[in-house]
Amino acid sequence: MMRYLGSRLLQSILLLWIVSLIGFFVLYLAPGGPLAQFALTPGMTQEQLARIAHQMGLDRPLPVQYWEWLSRLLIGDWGQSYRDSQPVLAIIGSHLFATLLLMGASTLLAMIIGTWIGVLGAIRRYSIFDYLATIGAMIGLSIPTFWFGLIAIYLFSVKLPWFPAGNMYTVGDASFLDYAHHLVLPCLVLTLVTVAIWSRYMRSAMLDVQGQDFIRTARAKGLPEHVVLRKHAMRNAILPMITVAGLQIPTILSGALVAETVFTWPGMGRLFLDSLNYRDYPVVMGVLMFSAVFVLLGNLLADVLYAVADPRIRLT
Amino acid sequence: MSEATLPAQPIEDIAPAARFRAVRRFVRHRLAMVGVVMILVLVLGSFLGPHLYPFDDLRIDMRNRFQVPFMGPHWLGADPLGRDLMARLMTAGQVSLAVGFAAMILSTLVGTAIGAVAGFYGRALGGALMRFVDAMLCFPNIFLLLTLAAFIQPGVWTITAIIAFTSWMEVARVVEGQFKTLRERDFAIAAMMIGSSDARIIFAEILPNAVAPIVVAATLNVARAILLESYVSFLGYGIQPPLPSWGNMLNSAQQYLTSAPWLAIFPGLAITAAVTGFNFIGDGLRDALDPRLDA
Amino acid sequence: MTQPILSVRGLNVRFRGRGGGEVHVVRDVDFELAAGQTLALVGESGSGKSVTSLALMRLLPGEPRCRIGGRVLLEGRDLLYLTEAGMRGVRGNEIAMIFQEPMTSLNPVHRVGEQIAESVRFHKGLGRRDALDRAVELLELVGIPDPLRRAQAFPHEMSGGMRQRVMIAIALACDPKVLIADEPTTALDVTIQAQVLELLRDLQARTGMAMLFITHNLGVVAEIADRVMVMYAGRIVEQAAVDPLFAKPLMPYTRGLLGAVPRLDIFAKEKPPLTSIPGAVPDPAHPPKGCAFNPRCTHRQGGLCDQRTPPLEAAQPGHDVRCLRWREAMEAA
Ligand SMILES: Nc1ncnc2c1ncn2[C@@H]1O[C@H](COP(=O)(O)OP(=O)(O)OP(=O)(O)O)[C@@H](O)[C@H]1O
Ligand code: SF4
Ligand SMILES: [Mg+2]
Repeated sequence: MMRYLGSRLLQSILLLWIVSLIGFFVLYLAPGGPLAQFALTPGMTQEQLARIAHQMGLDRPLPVQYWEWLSRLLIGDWGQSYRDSQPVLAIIGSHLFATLLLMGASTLLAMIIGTWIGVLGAIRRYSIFDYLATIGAMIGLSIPTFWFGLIAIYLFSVKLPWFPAGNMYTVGDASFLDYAHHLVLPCLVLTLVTVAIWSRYMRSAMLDVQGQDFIRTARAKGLPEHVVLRKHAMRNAILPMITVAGLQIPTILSGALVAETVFTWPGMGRLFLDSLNYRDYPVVMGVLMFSAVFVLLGNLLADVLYAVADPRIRLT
Repeated sequence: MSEATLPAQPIEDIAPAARFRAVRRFVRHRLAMVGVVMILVLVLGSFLGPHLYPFDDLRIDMRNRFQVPFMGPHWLGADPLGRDLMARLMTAGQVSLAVGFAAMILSTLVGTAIGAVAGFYGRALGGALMRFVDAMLCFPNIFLLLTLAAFIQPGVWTITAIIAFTSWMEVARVVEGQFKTLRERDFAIAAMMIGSSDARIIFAEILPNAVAPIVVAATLNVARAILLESYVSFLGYGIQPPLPSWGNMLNSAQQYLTSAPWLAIFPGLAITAAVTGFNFIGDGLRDALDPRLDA
Repeated sequence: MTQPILSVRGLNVRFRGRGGGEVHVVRDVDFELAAGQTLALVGESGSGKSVTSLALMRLLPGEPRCRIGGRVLLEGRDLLYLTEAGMRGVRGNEIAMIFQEPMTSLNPVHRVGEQIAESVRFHKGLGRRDALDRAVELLELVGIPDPLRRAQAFPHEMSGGMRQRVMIAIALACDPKVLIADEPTTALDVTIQAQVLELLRDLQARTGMAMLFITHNLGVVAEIADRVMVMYAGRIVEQAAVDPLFAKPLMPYTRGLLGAVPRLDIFAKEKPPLTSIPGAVPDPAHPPKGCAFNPRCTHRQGGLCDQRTPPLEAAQPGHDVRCLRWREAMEAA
């Protein structure tokens, strides 16, 4: 397994490098490139701009600039926000918790609901329930999340004032229940998509497992059906879902961004959009790079977990 | 008689029958037919509707500002300027559907080209291209899309291009996989042995056999492109007013959510219908074109 | 013959396809099995052997997809009329089963000790510790060296032969009265095959259980069985004690099977014998009219064999045959 993990690590590093190339390319697409913030300052002359460009080393060959940018990235110097001159990484850090809370809560919920929908759909294949779940999942994947959020706000915050329409906590309260109360709607919206995906994968994983010989063995032992289902079928069907969970991270992150924009949830997605509105490019680039790294590490983690969880992959 | 002594059937003889079976499976796929109907209604409604519908999408009618749906002359109600919501949905539909479709074509072309080259040549070039695909997939696509949309002058074509740029990777993966296996098959090897050019082998021999999964991926890409466009436009980085799109209609509807919710409900339903329709069709195509069912 | 433990009367199994058509896969199967006896069920692939055995265990899909008719009497109780819970008490406890594929029949994510123990826990109400002790005992019984350590192993850490021994241990966990072995040696190497057969014979001698042994391989039948049933297209076509059957097969189909067995090569891994009869088993959805074997039979008589369905007749005491022309066919031989 160590060899396998080693090779996965190498692959991830290679990918990280390509990701950085793409990031650098995108950065230079920005109007005015890294100079944009100064170009926007009123009364800035061409000469001044040129001088700043020279100071920033922008007149040097691209590979050199890339190398500098990358080395700063590696030592954690991700630049400073145009808005308040805070280091980018620190700003991202301060918004990370909210996003992780939202993603974590919704993923947990989606896994629980999605697992059961998928399992039920598989054991009652072609039943009305299975059919409705299939259609429901496809519609769930098709509803624009932000619109669903708006409708949820209209229904459960405006018409029926049950839940707050935005923010993560009430100033002056911020108890656990208060957080939970604020979490309900954004979590619901984000869960719509993840449940749809998760239940589909779970269903096909269960269908795969159910046809296997060892399930017949378990039945031939006379085990009750719920033991066959849980201990033998689901336990095996869940394994590949670890990888699926890893692969879903970009989708969930995108979904979180959407949910955060609709519900003014103070996470990374909200930060990203605010920074876009202010043309705060260092932060925009920072969040973009951070999310890619996050995805990469998430996939790596999923692979490691899978290797640990599956006894067929040896721990030597 | 054993299988081996049968004369190898020329491909042209098999193809029409298989194609016919696939068409029949598709037509019998209930969800797919629902999808086809939904898309037909949306497309015809958006492009022919304005010629039949009595209201113009731009006419301002201050007497009927915020008219509630089904409660006055405007079928689906009117917006803050008294413009007819139904008429605006139709015009917006033209834009949203066209962008979705164009982005699909572009992303399918790019994805197919990159996937074909990677799968056909394999080795270092193919490996490098596929690692590029992997790296692109590390960026959550909405983040990448918004960053680009914020940097680049928004317009119908740039939005289309940006959406395509962030959604060609799945097609590339599918095509690469197909090319990798098809390259090893008899007909491709035969073509190589008689010295056909690479381009000929790719376009005339392998590509036609890889069409099915490409069509499926492309259909799902239309759905995704419509969804992405609506979100970017909703945030104000996509299609810019006065040109309406379903997404930017939602942007302006947001502030009237409490007083005039229909302004948000109908465009959202239109998006959902379009995306669901294409997803249904894509699902039906996947089932219909599955060669394993062709035993 | 002693009082039978298992007695099967008029067993019929029909599958319903998704289109609605019915396929009659097992037809009017009768047999009896006494304690300590081994009954072999042989026949070509697709003749309905596995379906018969799964029907006894009620492990086939449920009602709309599959209908089972007839009676399956285990010491007088009709298993087909038990509740699902009652049947669970029988499975793995009174009747146990081992399957052909040791590589896929064990759950890859659980330790083998646990897979043996759970059966004992469920049926005998043993605690976790005791059940695991019992599992180690069973591993020792089936000849696995270092059973204490092996109980902690995962299936993928064992060879095919070892896994089949584990399957046998699972089957024996609750001292079943009847063991159904569905081609337990087919997937194994020749030498391992012999060891597993030896083990089964030995265990049967010790426990006195009855065994229904399904196989392709007539050599194996000669090794292990007391009686033999030959199955063709879902029907029993000949049934006799081993010696008379091998010495004087009456049904042309059996003759075809036997004629092709190279006697010395009884453990051959490949099964040329059963494929050497020209033609193929009929599609159970479209069985031929008359005797199901008639399109392939060298003794067939037009106007007779393709018109009348032969009954199962007692040609000699304890030797039944389903053939309209078994007398003529026997003389010709
Ligand atoms: N679940 C099922 N649904 C429909 N038909 C089935 C099902 N299981 C088995 N059959 C059919 O029943 C017939 C008998 O199958 P069975 O598995 O009993 O054959 P077998 O004698 O065990 O063959 P083998 O030696 O290959 O194991 C076959 O034609 C098979 O197609
Ligand atoms: S009944 Fe006729 S066809 Fe059938 S086995 Fe006997 S001789 Fe052959
Ligand atoms: Mg079988």
